Amino acid sequence: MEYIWDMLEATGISLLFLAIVFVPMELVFPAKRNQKIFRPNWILDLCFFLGQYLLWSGLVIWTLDYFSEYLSSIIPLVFKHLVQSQAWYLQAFEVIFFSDLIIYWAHRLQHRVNFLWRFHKVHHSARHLDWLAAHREHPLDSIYTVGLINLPAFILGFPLETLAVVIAFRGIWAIYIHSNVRLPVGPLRMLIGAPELHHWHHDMDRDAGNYANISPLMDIIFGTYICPDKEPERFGIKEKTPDNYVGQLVEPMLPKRTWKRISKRFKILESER
Amino acid sequence: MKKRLIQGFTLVSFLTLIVLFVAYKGGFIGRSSDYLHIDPNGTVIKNNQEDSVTILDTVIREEALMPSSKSMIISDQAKFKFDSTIYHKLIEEYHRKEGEENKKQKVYMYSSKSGYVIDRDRESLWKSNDSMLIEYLKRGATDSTDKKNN
Repeated sequence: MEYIWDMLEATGISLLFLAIVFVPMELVFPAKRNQKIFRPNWILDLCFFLGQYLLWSGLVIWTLDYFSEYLSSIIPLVFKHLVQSQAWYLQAFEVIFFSDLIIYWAHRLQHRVNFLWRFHKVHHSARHLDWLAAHREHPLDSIYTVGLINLPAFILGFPLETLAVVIAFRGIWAIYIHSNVRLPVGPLRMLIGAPELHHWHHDMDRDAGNYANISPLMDIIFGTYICPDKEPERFGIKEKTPDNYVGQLVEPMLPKRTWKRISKRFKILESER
Repeated sequence: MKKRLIQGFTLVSFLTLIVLFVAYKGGFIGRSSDYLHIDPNGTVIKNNQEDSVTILDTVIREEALMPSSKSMIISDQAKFKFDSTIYHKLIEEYHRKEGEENKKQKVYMYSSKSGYVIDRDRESLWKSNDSMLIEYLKRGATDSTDKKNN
């Protein structure tokens, strides 16, 4: 019983901390001035937040444990020792660079390949972007993304805990770029992601661009960087998606016909575009 | 003017919170320094040492995972796991299946992956501290001592 309380406590503190960090920014520097803090579907995003913290993080870590274990068993020790004999800063650069490269292409694939899009579209189904909507993500999408972003560290055998500062920064910045904030940072946005860039990634167009995770460098290199001087008119996707938590989790895993039958049978609402 | 002040204050607060958060997660602030003084062979760890190593290994690995563009970074996930029966069951199941020989190998295998700290220097494992971890270990040690006394 105590551990349930501990989990709830940690989740509550995280939610409170994020609200304290981002809500004032969204109020003072709003990207969409008419968007309220308690906007439509905020409860759905809260469900995703709670699900991520209370349910799915365990599954993701468990999968990664086994995945990294498998990789460890097939990668020659000689290779690892060779990598680890380099200076720490060089290893750190390699890990960050390859993580960004892999996640960039993996993300592009998610938008291109229909099977991957089925899961990734859950994240894009948010019609209102803010710090809470950042957490809208299918657990299998999480496994895919977090697995790939950690792949270079697994392969190179790099001790990620020595990059704790970078990792923490990336984590909170990833939430920031989803927030309803418009605070242009000038040329700095070519180095580090900003909400005005990532908002365009959430444009209705499935291939809108800006696929890079945190730094837009990969987008610049591969020609998918876009940064108009205004906010997109509408966020979301053109497809119909369930408007409830369970529906969003189940729908991507079922054939379309089966889902149609189920949604009709249980009268599951789907958002109309 | 008032608007400017509010904007300035909000921006400074935001940046301060981000810096504090990053510093906290990086272990520069808010982590109990007494943790460093815990001797891996000392009383706190002693009764739980074997489990602690395994659990710590998992914790370090978890805390060291790179977050995606959306997920899981704010809370100390460590707390989730310490008392999580799922993880304990998984660890126990593994140990039961693999036996003593492989258990040793497991620790080694962990260290050759992302939990590299263990392989390099067992003591540095304990430096990857967490105040909740200390509490957990202390609690575990106390429970264990109580059981023995009873």
